[in-house]
Amino acid sequence: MAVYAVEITNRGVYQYNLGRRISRDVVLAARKMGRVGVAFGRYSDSPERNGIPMKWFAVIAENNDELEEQMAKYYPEVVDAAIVLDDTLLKGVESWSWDGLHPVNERVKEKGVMIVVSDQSHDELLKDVHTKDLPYKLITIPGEASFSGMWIIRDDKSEARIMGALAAALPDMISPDAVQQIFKDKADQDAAARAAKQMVTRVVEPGEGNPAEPYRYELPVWQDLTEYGIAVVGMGKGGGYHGGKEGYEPTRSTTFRKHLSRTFRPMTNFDACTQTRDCWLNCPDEAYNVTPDGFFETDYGACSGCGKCAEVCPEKIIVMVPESEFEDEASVYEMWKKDKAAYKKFFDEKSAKGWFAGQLVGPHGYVRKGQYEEEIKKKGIK
Amino acid sequence: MTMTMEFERIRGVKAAPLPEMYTSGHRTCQGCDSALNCRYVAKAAGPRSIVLGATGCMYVANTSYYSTPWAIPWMHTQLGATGSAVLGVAVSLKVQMRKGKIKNEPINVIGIGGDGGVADMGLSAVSATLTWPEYDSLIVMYDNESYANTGVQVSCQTPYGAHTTFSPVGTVKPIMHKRWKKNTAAMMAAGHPECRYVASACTAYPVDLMNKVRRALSISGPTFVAILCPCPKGWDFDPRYSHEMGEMACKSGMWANWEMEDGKLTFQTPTSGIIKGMVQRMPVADYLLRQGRFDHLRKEDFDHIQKQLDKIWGEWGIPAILPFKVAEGELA
Repeated sequence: MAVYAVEITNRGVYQYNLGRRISRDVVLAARKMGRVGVAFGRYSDSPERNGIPMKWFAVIAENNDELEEQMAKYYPEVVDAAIVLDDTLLKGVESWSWDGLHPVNERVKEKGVMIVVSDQSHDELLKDVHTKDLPYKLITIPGEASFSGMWIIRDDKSEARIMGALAAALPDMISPDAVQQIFKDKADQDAAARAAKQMVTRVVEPGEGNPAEPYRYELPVWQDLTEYGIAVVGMGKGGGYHGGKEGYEPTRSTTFRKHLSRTFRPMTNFDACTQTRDCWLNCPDEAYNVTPDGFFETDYGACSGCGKCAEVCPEKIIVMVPESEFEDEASVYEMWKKDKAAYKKFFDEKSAKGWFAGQLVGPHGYVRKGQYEEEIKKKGIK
Repeated sequence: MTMTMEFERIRGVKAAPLPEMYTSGHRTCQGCDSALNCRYVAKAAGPRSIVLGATGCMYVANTSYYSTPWAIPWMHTQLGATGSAVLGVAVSLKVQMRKGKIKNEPINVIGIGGDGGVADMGLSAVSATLTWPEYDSLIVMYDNESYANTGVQVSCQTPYGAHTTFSPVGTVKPIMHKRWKKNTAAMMAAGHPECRYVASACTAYPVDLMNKVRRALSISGPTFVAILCPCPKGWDFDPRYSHEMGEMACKSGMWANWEMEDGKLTFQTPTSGIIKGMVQRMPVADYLLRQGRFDHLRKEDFDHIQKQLDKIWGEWGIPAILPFKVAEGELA
């Protein structure tokens, strides 16, 4: 298994086409050697901006399976060769849509190469390049950085020279022969061959270079977003009635209780309850607790008082009582459990003021056509 | 690789599971059946589920101001992106399980969108998701027959003649919405040959609804369930009647309960009784007269709707589902 990766760092737009062509040349040369490859730009550089550093990549593999495995990554984590098309980029890369400063040699692997187009000496260049824990080779190709624009290429043979130097530095990856094959123009072929002789190589030992710490900042992770309410901690899965083992009580929201939506509240005549469960199953507000003895207790903190339970109860034993009749939200189930005779009296007293299922004195609006006119007529409002 | 979850069939109200995966904390209306639908779907699916919610009532009312009713992971998706989000999550889970990054176990992926998020704007993404047989997912449409969240505007699921913000009632022209409701579930069933399960349910029949959700989740590949959720606000009825309203919608033939599994179509209560001729459809006027949104309809309008329904149930190739049949003499 042999997988190779090349990274090209260039100035945005001025060297956009040069970088793109080199990344494609690497793949073309690899194909001449019977390998497969893919050339691509870094998505977060797009759209490119004048002057802002950007990157191109070429990934080469022996077969399609290996290549696909590499392509599952956003871009290569380590590269065999990093090509820097302008020596001022050696100070580091700050992409327009990326975090902090990234050294140009960041992804160069152990004993990999970094090829720089520059007239400066290695020592001059290493004043800018950040230190690295691993040894790598620094190769310079004498010459000026080749700048052009969005549409017109400056044909100064930079492309061929860099390809020639790359082949000379890493002949296992792309051979000089393959490079000669991809250029059709004799001048390009000569430039590639010439660059292999002109290039100057030096091994950079660990710790050599600019010791300054590249600036970074902490990126937020999704847990941090809870502070802004973008991520909210989910509700609990509920448990036994009042923390016990039997029955069931869902977790209730601590941020929104909904009880102030209520004009009427449901009261169950537990003595007549046959435990059909319809009130519990049809409650849109999950307001019913399941008690250990199989009854259904309304949580008046969660109940919005829609009256659905009263309507669906097959025994018609749930009564909707005006909210003004009550001072607190105490559980009527507990009252019934404590003293059934007292609860019966309480229930009869309250239910006289409320409505049971099927009684057409709706508190919340439209029940049938002509209802409002009838009510107004009945009350004698003119 | 991963298998879908196996579920026990819920036999009756008393067998409904107790744990609530969607609990209190939602800022919905009183008597909101769309919220009840979320509760049923979550209850049926259980704790190992991920829910993706498109913009709509069930997004806004469920996530306002640091509150959530979900006990299972839920994420908002864009209004038109229910299908894409569901597919993306299903693919991601499958890949992560294959690579061993997460435990290989069945996880339900459920997309919940309203009629706007599924039948209107999200239609193309939902339709695309239903063409991917290798990823297991469920898309649930809660159909409250309008854009209820933004103030009850017309959607393509709004029934003929309804009063909405976009079809205000006038004295000269009482009816401003004259389009017939789109049959989204039937469209999904007819148009996606690799989608093995499509069902139509109503919150008034919770056991049937939960069983359909469970069936959909246990079947491999993409599945779709459309659920009618009576909306006390948009339909303008007293919230205590939302159960009855759902029942009447089914009994009058305005909605049909059916499921299609591997090409086999079956009908459920009360639609099955109507199909077999054991039960008469109730007059649609009884249903319409109970809702403020149809208060302006006149005798001739009720007759028109009744006539349309008679045609849907009496003349269609498959009643309430397929409007056409093969012309006589075309088949050998």
